[in-house]
Amino acid sequence: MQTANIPVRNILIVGDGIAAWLSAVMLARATGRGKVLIGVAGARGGADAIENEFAGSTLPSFGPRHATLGFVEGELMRATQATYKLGDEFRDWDTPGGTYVHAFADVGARLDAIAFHHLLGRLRAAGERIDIGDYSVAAQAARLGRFAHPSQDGKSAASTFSYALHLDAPAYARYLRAYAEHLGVTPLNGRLASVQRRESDGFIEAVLLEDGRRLAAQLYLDCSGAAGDLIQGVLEAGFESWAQWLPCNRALSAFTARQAPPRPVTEFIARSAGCQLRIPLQQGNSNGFIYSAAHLADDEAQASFRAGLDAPVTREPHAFRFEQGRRRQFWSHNCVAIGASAAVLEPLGSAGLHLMMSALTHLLTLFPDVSCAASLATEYNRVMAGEYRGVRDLLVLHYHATRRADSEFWRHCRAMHLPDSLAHRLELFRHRGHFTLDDADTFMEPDWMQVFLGQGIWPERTDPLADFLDLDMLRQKVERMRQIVHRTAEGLPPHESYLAQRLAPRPAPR
Amino acid sequence: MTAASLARFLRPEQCTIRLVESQEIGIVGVGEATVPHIRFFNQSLGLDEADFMRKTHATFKLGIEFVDWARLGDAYIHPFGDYGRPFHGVRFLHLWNRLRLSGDATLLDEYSLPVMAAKQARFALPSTDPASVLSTFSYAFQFDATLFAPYLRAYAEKRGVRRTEGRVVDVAVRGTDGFIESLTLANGERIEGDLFIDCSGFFGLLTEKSLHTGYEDWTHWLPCDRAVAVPCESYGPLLPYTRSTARSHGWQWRIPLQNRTGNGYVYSSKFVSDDEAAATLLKHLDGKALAEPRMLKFVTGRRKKTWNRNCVAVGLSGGFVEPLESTSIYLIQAAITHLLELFPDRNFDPVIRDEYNRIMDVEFERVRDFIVLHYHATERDDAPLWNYVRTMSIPDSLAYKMELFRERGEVVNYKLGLFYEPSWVAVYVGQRVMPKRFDPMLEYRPMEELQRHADQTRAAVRAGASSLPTQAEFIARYCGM
Repeated sequence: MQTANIPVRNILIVGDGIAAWLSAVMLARATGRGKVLIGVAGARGGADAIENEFAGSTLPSFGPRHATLGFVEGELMRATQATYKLGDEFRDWDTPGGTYVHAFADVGARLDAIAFHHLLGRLRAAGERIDIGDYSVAAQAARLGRFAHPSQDGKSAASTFSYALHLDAPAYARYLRAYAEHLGVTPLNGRLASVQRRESDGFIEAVLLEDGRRLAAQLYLDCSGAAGDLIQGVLEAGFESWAQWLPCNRALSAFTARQAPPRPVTEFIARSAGCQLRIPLQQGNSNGFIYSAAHLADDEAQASFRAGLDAPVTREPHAFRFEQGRRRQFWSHNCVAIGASAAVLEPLGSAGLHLMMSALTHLLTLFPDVSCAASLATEYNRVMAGEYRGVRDLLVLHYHATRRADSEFWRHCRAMHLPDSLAHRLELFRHRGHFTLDDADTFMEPDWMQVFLGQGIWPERTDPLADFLDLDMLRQKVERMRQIVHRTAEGLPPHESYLAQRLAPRPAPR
Repeated sequence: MTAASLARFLRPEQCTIRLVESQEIGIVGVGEATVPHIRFFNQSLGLDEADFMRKTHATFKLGIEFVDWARLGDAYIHPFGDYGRPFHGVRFLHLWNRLRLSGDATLLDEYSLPVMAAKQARFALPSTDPASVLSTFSYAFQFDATLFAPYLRAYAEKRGVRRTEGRVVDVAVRGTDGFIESLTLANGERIEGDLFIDCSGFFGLLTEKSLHTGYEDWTHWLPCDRAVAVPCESYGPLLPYTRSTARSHGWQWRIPLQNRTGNGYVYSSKFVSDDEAAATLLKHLDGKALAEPRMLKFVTGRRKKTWNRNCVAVGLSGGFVEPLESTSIYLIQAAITHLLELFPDRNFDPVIRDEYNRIMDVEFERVRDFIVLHYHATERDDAPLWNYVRTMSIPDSLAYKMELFRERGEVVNYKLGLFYEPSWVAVYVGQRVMPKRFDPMLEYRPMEELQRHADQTRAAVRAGASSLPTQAEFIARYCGM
């Protein structure tokens, strides 16, 4: 029995965009300089992944993970036109005119064993008008266009949120590439042409590039985008379509000049057959329009997109197609799919980069030797399937939990049959405001709560423990929280000036 | 525990809580060992730790020692704490395994502060400085269950729980929906209720005898079905850990309290008679027995629905996985916590009940897999019990976990349920389930660097452990009786 490791000495990454270079950086950092030769070759058709089309809108896990890779925030932000992000703003989703922010923050605070949303539910039942954004410093600051880094003082209300970044996708990819090269990764400057497999076990043995070069490695990362040049094109891992739950399958993207100050929030505006998005960068906005081709003609989409832009375009809109879903296996044989080759999801939950980093983190934990033991792949596939499912369910919830009935698209989304995992979650919240516990959750209670309440789903019953609270006492407590939140948010500087101050070029040393 | 917790979190104007207790149903356990979660329970009630320890004759617990489990002569401690520090993002276990596979015989124990402290009978509260090796552990208690119950009773009664001494002779079930309506006591008193909590023990007075909920039997994985227990005089240093010694037909516990030691022998009636089991127990006490041995019978398994109709089974009435890893109290605590999270109103929404049952099923199953591992991963072939458990088929969920560990030292992680990675590592390695390989990331780092990291860790652990006072000294200062 062979038990000693035979370490991987060559890794070949196939892809051109963020997924490829992020993979290169994370692998090079983990393996140490020069111990493993990491090469990056271009995908067969060039980059075609959603993550390269729009500016990156990230989640709070981004900062700490980048810090461990050795990135300095200010430097990264200067190089990628980045702005700060406090959450996602959703407009017109539940009803036209309705707005809420899904902020990176706690909302309110528990009272003994009673969760905050039950306190609000009690007040609401007593006839109060409730806006959950009143109880989240980040949501308030987002509305006011204010930002500062969270306070380190755990007792301060200014410490109750976290933040993420918006960054320009091509600039971020270039930044990652430069860093990867600095770490010793080799750009192969050539595109994939064909693949050779080992007869005995079907492992990928080598790839041939268009210029005839033959490159052999022991581990392959497929970052080629939705096509999945290796994972699907060669290993036929299969695709599980989620189109019945996420019908959007077309997108437009365009860049507009900066006119108003950049907001510290990504905007998602519901449209008649999908949504429009706006990601603020320093010099302008990255805009997107996502729609279902079954419900909207392409020329109508173009017109609607342009009508919804807040400034003239600086580059003509680019159109592309996609189908949402995931690969049946993300890791097959000696190949692991990262990014759109693993799963395609619209940018709604801003989880694209988070999922990529999470996938790479799990891969590093379960990093194989040349045998790529089946048990490692099985565990990796189990864990990642759970992560993708959690994100999918949150996206589906946005479309399904709506009172809109003004188009065929929304009527379809309202009536659709939900995935079991989401149906269970929704039912529990709707009945009693309870959050089900799941082993693999990307999004936590505050996330689900903001989306449920923001989309107009209030529990039918509050926690019976809340029913007996003294109403006046409760009103006072909650009002005090509201005041602290508002005062704290109003005390933060405007996002634009904070950004200018933090990212000003440092004065040259005298 | 349930009455105290409900009294703490429900308001008196909201509902009244009544507790019917019969002295005829004794309290199981002579000394009760716990896992660190008990501290959160105590904190949620606002109990003063030193006062609680003094009143229940409690000692601190850093882990459990398993003697003779994988092989006769083996011993290892499952500590409440991690082994070593990660090395360039790679878990310490892999580093240890790499050194082991290249011939280094150092035990994993030497990289664990709680193990080294336990071996020297030392204890102090963990440091709050995360950089200190003295912050790398947690702790639980070993206490006298017959004193903890009245302690909680006083707490509950002070907060409005009405306790009635009496024996339930009849349970009235509503014809329409099968809900429990009322209990009748031997003295004729009738007590009505909306929600009934069955804490009657294995018997399941409400959930089984009245509602016929049904029981999932796990005896084929956990064949022990009896225990005999006896307290004895203390002897030797006051150890900050529980000991579990494997015997021919089961295993023996030793739980040190401040004033005496609790002992018991858990065994399978299929392989040994009660008399012989009692004799074995008495032969292996380290002090004079202080009472007659008491006999208990049980069936390992789980109630099919721990929440059925308007009755929630908490404690042994809900299921029993064996006391091997001190999980009984944890499972009570989990049941109460989830019940408070999902507290029903009089509609008894089935959605709430189903979610509760789903979560409690997961809690029970994750504990079960962990306990089964102790039995199954053995090389012992000196008695029929060990031959059976060694060769039995195990739950698929456990087989999956074991395969991944054997292959590469990876622990399958879940967010739900007790026992995290360090616990699994301790028991796998202690039971001689050794990973064939290590994380190949380590192949890319020079051996000297690995060795230096290991040496530094070991030195810090050794120095840290020796700097602690003995548990006897610490207790005398902190919470002596």
